[in-house]
Amino acid sequence: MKNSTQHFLRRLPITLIAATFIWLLLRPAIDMAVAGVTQTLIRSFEYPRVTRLVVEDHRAQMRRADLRTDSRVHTVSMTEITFNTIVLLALYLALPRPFSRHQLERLFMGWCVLGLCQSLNLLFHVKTLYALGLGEWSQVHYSDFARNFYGFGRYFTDLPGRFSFPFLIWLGFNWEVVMKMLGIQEDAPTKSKTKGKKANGRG
Amino acid sequence: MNVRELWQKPEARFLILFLTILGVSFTVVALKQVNDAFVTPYTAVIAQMSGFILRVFGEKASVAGCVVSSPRFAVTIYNGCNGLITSLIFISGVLAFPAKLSAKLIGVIGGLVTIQLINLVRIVSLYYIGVFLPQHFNDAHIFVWQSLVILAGISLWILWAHKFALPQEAS
Repeated sequence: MKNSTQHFLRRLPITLIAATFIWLLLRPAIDMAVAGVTQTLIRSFEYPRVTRLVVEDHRAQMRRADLRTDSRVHTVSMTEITFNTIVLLALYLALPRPFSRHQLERLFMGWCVLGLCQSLNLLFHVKTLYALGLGEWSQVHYSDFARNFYGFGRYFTDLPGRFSFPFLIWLGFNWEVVMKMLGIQEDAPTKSKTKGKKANGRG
Repeated sequence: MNVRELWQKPEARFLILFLTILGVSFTVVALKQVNDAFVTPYTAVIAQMSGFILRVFGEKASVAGCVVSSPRFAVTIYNGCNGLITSLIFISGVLAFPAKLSAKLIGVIGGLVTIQLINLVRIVSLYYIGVFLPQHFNDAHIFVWQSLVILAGISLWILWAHKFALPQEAS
């Protein structure tokens, strides 16, 4: 097995612990940022702008200004939505030279993309509630297509998304490093038919 | 670069196949018919196995559908707790990887078995966390074990690629 792969696999349990601590430390800020982006996205397509997401005790409360004050407040667990930050951080930190400027830039970009995915996950939760969970009001304001669309979006960004997004983002932003670690790029024929152009094996 | 040239690049082919298999498999398991015919019975089998292990450990555990219960604690195994999503990510990675069919077969069978073993450890440990440290059950369930299972799946995939998929001189 390659040295880089051995190092990666050896470092992964340690980076998992480090990532968990970082996430626990930043959790309130992550919760606020994800809920804030989601609220902005929802209100961008809402008239009148009535949705307000309030984070309390790591749960996002869905509040609407046009509902009665004694209406039931629905909540979503922010822990379930943002825990996959741990996976992304652990994978990033386990790669060689994780604190180099290049890797930190990649981490920042990857984290932003993951944050957007988490916001979409929360958005689909809110919109699915609006489209399906508010009885007659939902029936009047949302079509069957909208109900299916939001339900499908919620399903995809829930379990499959939460589990696969960190891996896909890590893979995408560290493509060359991971492909070399896996040995795929080394096997690639670099002298392919490129009409005279020199292939550099970087894909 | 045209599609054929892109397809000839192993890393590009891997990415296209990986995303396609992943997307299709996630869509298929979301269908109600598949859920009723496969996912729910599969989850019930996981519950039966967990109940069996708990009985081996001396717990008076009984299983009803996807619920494992005893006089001390009860756990319900939902779709996210059955290891299926991690298995699908792993299988997509194995099937998309440029390797021989025999290596892929070893990967799929070995990976599924290993991920399920890890998942059984997870369910049993969560049961005991529920018994002895109930205040930490949610944390252990959501971010500790879910992160562990995902990373275990990714590590398994990387290990499989090196041990079985790549030619010996390359690995």
